[in-house]
Amino acid sequence: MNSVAGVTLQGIKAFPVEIEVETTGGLFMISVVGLPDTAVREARERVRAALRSVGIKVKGRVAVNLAPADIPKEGALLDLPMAVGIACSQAGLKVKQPSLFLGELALDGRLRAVRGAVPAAFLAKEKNLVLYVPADNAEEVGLVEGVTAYAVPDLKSLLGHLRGESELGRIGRTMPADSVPPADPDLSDIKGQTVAKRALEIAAAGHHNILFVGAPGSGKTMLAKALQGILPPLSNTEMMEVLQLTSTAGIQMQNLRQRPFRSVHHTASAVAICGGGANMRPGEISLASRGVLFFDEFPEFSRDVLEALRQPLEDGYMTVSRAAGSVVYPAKVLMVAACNPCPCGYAGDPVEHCTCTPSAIARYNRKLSGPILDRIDLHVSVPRLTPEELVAIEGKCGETSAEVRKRVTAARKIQAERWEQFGFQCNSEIPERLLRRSANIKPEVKDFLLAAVNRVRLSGRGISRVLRVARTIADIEASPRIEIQHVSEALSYREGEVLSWMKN
Amino acid sequence: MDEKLKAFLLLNSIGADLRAWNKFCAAETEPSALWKDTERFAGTLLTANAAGRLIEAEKNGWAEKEYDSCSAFGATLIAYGSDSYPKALRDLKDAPLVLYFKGSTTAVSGKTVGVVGTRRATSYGKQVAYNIGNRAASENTQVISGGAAGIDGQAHSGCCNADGTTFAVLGTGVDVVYPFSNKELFERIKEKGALISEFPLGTQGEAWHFPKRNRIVAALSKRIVVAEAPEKSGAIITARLGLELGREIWAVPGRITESTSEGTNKLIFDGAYPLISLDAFFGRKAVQIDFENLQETAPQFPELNETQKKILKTIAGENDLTVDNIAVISGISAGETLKTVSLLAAFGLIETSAPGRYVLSRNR
Repeated sequence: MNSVAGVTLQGIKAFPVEIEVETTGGLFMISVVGLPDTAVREARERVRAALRSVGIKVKGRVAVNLAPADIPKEGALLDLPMAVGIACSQAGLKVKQPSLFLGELALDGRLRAVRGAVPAAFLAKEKNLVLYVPADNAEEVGLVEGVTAYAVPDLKSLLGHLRGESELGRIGRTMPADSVPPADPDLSDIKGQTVAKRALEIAAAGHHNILFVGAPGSGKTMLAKALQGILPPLSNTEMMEVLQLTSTAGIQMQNLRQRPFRSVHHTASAVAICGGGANMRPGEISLASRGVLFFDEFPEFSRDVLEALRQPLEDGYMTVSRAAGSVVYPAKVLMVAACNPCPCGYAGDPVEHCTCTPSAIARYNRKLSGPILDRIDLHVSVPRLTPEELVAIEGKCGETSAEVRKRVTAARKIQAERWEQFGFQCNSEIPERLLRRSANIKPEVKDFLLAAVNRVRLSGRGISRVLRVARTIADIEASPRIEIQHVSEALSYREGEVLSWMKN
Repeated sequence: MDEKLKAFLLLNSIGADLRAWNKFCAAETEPSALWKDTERFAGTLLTANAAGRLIEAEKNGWAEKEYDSCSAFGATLIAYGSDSYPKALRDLKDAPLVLYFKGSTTAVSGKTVGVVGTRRATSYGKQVAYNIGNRAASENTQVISGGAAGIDGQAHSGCCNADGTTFAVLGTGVDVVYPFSNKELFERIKEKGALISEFPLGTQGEAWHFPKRNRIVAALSKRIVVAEAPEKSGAIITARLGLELGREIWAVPGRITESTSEGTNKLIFDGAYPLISLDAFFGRKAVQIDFENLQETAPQFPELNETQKKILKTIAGENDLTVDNIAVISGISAGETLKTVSLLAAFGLIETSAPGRYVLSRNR
C-alpha cells in the first residue's frame, strides 16, 4: 500500500487528493473509485499507455481509490499521480518525500499542461510538499515564492528522478515584470471627448462603475479599452489573486502587472458571465476581477443576467452554488457599460437622423433604469463629432495615459489612507452613512448642493453618488475638502443627465 | 339641459358636425325630433349605422350622463352658437358642435399663433418651436398647438415657461393624457390656458382623430407656423386647411438634406412666409443676452470671472457645442472648459440640447 497525492480544484483553491492503489490477482482491469468525473475515469487508458511507454506493463486487478471519497474529482490533472501510484504498486517505485503530482499524460508518456498549477503550488507551499508539474506550467509555478517544485517533461524522466538515476530541473523563481506595457489605445490617441476621458480618470481613481451613452461610432468601445491603460499596475497580492484565477481557467497571461480587460457580449448566458455550470468554472466577471469588464449594448442584456450581476458588483465576490457544494470566486471588477441613446442610436445626433418612435425611446429608457444602474456612479454622454468638428480639434491631443495614471495612483493612495481605519479601499465602496459623516462638506457647498438637487430632482441615493464622485474629484486634486467645483462636476455625471435633453 | 345642447351632444357623439346640424335644421325645427323620429333622417342626414348608435345613446341617457360627468370632472361644455364658443371656429364648414374645455377660464382670443410640426423633431426643430412659444408669451400672443410629443410639446412648454397662455387641442378626450410623457406639461397648460377637445370624455387616441383635430388648430390660429415637418404629415395638412381658411402660413426653413424639413421648405417654395427670425415674425428688434444682469436671472450665481464669461459667450454665439468645440473656439484648455461648463450647468445657466451638447438655458 503506497500513497501519493494529487489535487482537485474547488474554485481557485486546490484540494489535496490522496491516491491509493491496490493490485490483486485476476484478469486485467483498472477501476477508479472516489467520485471520479468522466475525464478521471478515462485516465485509465492514458495511464496504462503511458506506463507501457516506459516499460511498465500493468497486470491484474488494479483498484485506484481517490480519497476523500465524498468530494467530486475533476480533470485530467490526476493522470500523473495515478500513474505514479500504479508504478509504486507494481514496479517497486518509492516516493521518498511527501509529494504532490499533477499533469495530464499523453499516450507516449509526455506531459501536457493543466489548469490549476498555481493553486496547487500554494497548497504545496502551505503543506510543505514537493511539487511535480508539467514543464509547460513551470513558468506560472515559478511566480509562487518558496515552493520546492520540479518541471516534468515526460513520465520517463520523472521515474528516473524518483529512482535517483537522473535529475529533474528545479523550477527557479520567475520574477514578474515590474512595468506594464504601454497603454493601447493611449488616451492621447482619442480625438476630443474631453468629458469622457475625464470620466475615465475619475472612474479609475475612485473605482466607480461607468456608463457611456452615445451614437454608434462615437468611440465608446475605444474609450472603454483605454481605461485599462490608466489603472495603476497590480500590486503583489492582487497579482497572486489574478494568477490563481487565470491558472484555474487555463488562460495565459501576457503581462502579470497589467489589469485584465474583458468584454462580454449580450448573447452570453448568465453562467458564462457570472460563473457556474456543471463544473463550477469562474465566469467573465471573475476572470476580469481586479480589472475592467466591458458590457457593450448594455440594455440588450437579458434581465436575469443583470439580476445575477447585482450581488457580485455589490460584494466583490461571486458565490457559485451547485448540489455538489459551493465555491467562491473573487469578482472585484470595474464595470464599463455602453449603450445607444435610443434603439436606432441616433437620437440627438447632429448629422444622422433618429428614426425611432417616441414610445420606442420611452421603452428603451425604461430598460435603462432599475437596480443595476444604482451600481453605476458615472453616466456620461459621448457625442459623435461631425467631420468639421473632428478637423477643428485635430492636433489637440490631450494628456497621455501615463500622465493620467500618475494622478490616478496618487488619488488611490489618498483614499486608501483615509478609509483604512474603516476597512475600505476606494470612494465607491463607502456606505452612505459613513460618507455623509466624513465627507467633510463646508456649509456653502452644502447649500449649493441642495439648490442644485432641488433643480434637477435627485433622489437620496443620487445625492450619495454625487458626493462619492465629488470626493474622488477632490482626491484627484489632492484637495482635503469638497469644494463647489467638485460637486458641480460630479453633478454633470449624474444619472438622468445623459437623458435629460430628451425630456425637454 | 336644453334640447338643443342634447341634440348637439348626441350628434357629436356619433362624430357628426355642423354640416349635419345645418341639414337637420333645414328639415326640422324641433331638436327633439332628432331622437324621437330618428328613422326619418336615416339615409339623408345619417347612415343607418349612425342612426342606430344615436338611438342607442339616447336610450341610455348618454347625453345627460356626459353632461353630469363634465361638471364632476370640471370640464366646461361649450356648444356651437353660444357666446363663449370661439368665433374663429365659425369659419369652418364642419365646425364641431360641442367643445370640451379643461383648464382656466381664459378664452381663445386676440393674437393667436398655431405651432405645428412633426413628433419626431430634430433638436433644431424643437428649439425653434420652444423659442416661438417662449417669445409669444412675452408678445402677449396665445399659442395653439396639438399637445403631441415633439414640436407641439416644445411650443407649449416654451410658452408655459414664460408664463404665457397656451391651448392644446387634443385628439382624445380632455380627461385622457396622451402621450403620457406630457402629463406634467398638460398640468401646466391648464394653469393659464386650457386643454380643448371635440371628443367626448374618455375617448382614446385613434389615428384618425388627429387629422380631424388639426382643422380646429388651423381655425383657432390667426397665423400658423410649421416648425418642422416631412412632406407627408399632419402639420402640412394643417397648413393647407389654414390656407383654405385664409390664415397666414409661415414655415421655418431647414436644411435641404433633412427629410424633416422637406415639408416646410416645400411650403416656402409654394409661397408660405419663411420664418427667418423671431423678430421678423413678431416684428420686433432682438433682445441681447444681458451679461451684466445675469445676477437677477440666477440670483445665487457668484460674480462671473473672465473664463466663465468667455465660455458663456461662446455658447451663446453658436448652438449645440460639445465641450471639445467650446475649448477649441474659446481657446481655453479642455480641462478648464469642462470644469467651467459643469459649473455653469449646475447653476442652470446652460443646459444640454442633445447628448453632450450645450446651449444657453431657455428657462432663464
